[in-house]
Amino acid sequence: MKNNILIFMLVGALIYMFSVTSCAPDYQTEFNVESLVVPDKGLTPIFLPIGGGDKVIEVVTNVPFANWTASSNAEWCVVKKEDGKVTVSAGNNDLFLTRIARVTISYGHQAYSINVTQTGKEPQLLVEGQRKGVVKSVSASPAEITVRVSSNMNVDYISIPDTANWVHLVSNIADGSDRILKFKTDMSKSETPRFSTILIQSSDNPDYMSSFIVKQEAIKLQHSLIALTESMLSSNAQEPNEGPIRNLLDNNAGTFFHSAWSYSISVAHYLQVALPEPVSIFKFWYQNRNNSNGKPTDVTISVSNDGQNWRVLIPHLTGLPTGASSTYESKPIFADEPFSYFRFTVNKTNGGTAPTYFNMAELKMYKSILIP
Amino acid sequence: MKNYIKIFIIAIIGFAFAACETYDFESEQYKNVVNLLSNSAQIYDRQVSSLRTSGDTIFLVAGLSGTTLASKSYNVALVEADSLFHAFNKSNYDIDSSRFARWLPVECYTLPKTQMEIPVGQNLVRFPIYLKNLDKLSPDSIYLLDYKLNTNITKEFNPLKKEVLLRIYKENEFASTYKNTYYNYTTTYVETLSLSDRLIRRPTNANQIFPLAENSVRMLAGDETFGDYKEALDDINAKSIKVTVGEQTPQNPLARQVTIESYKTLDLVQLPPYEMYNNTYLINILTTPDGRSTYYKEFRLHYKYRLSSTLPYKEVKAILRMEFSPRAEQL
Repeated sequence: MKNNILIFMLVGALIYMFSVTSCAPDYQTEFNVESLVVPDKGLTPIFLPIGGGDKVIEVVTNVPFANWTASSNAEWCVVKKEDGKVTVSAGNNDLFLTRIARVTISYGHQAYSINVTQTGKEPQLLVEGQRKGVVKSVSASPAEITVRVSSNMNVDYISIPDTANWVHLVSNIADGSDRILKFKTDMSKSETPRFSTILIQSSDNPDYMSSFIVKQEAIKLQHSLIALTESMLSSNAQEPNEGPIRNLLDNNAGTFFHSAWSYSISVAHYLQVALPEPVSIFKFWYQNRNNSNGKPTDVTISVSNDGQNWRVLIPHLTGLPTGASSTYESKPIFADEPFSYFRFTVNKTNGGTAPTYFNMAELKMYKSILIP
Repeated sequence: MKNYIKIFIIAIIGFAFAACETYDFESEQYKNVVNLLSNSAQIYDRQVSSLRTSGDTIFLVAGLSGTTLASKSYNVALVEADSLFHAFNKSNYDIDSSRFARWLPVECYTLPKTQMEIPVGQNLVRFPIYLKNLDKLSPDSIYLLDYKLNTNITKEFNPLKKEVLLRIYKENEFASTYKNTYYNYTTTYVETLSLSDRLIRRPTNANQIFPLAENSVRMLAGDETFGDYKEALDDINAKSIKVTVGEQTPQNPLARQVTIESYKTLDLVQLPPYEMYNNTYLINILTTPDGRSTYYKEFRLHYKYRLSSTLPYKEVKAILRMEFSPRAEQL
């Protein structure tokens, strides 16, 4: 037994000695570690002036010269590799914007990247001598506006907002070193002044923008209530159980018109008015029923001369109120020619999408006359 | 007694070593038959073709079974087939023919050799298939090639692997049909340009990008959705935009100009660059102070669109971003 213990101890000691000696560091072998280091100082971004210049980046390395690389991702940024350093240089920047490049110094998978920035020519873009704040006022009638733009760049982006599509660019012509922009405005259809901010940019430097404001005076209208009678009103979907259409004219917010809910039709429900005389400018007013459902939220306004052929004036009138007994008064609506029939087609309500029922308590229409 | 045990153990170990030594690694352990490389469904779908205009090459691989390399040459001949093609459509789509996979059009590929040989000392041969004009293919359809062994010439073959369906995937620098490619909206505005119903939305969802040609991709406009992709063809055609990536910008080599167009019927207007929405495709490298970099592919877009002429335009100022690894892409 003692002999066995002794044998096991000897074998254990042998394995331990073998393990220790096998892990011993090799202090004799000389390792040739190749490294490439760009000191922190050289990693700071490089800024070059508009006229160009050069900058030296120090490289600490024992890697053979042919085995490490230095490159730039932009043609204008020239990189020259030398012993222990890299020289970055650039010529004159003829652009109207700051340009950037990325210089990479690498050895194998070890790489350093340095950003290079060079400022460009100073852009100039002035509308009537200012970057912004110029206001051009026009009357409510159709008018022309002329704007002088001074710039050392191409003036090729002129943006008129969709929400102010009453302003139109007519021409953009050169006048010496300046550009003359001509705009025309449509006749105002608003009883309040309206504004449009025109944005001017250049493809040479789109970030450098100028703008001016067009202010158009309001029109003056005289509104007179159209005397409506029950025989002038009709609907393609009168509900038979409640809400006769005459209730729209009884000056009683407690009664209402209701379109069909007890049967269905395949088209959107509408309300139609045969006017006693042709009108070309009008507005309408309505009051919602004193409950929570069936409130129009998306409506098409159409008009007709004969009640057969219809033309759409407003494809989607939105932003309508949905509260109980809430009221809505439209802005003046201009038709291209006088009409005798008016149609209010409900595309959506707060309860669903057409064909769906809607209701309304009161309806009024006004004929409008332009006051010079 | 103890000595018997020791002798027994040593005999067992010696036997085990001796048994291993007698294993004959040199002799053929299986039958040498020709097969066409494919998965368990007899489809070979591991290759993705580049959409570059010069074309790309994929391979149909014929292998030789067995445990050793070929001791003689094997003639491998291919002929066109269609049984797997029809089986693929039947098993995946039954009678829904609108979703059937399509044959790769003849104008899109060339198979220069239909007969090659597995030479002595090899165990496979690769038939090159030259692909071209892949930009004419819809990114929403599945395109296949079907080939089988010509058993009049190739006599020794595996009957379960004598036919293969090659699925054609395509990719460009920006997207792939092999794996769904999603770019995330970030810092994005979609504004309805209506005075009466002005609405600004800030989408943060992902937009799936499809490769069209070497430098163009398709994506949904603004905050539109197409619902279930399997039934979305009409929505895709009506609501998608095509973005074509062009030349480098003069101020940043990592940015390229883009052109935004309607994919099919969408009413779309590309708007002038506005601040960071400058109509570019940018490799955006964000570097932390300790030097680590994160790489993004970004579309920076400014346009307006509407689905119908009676609706107001929606103005889109969008950054679509996808993180990527430059080293992984070089593999």
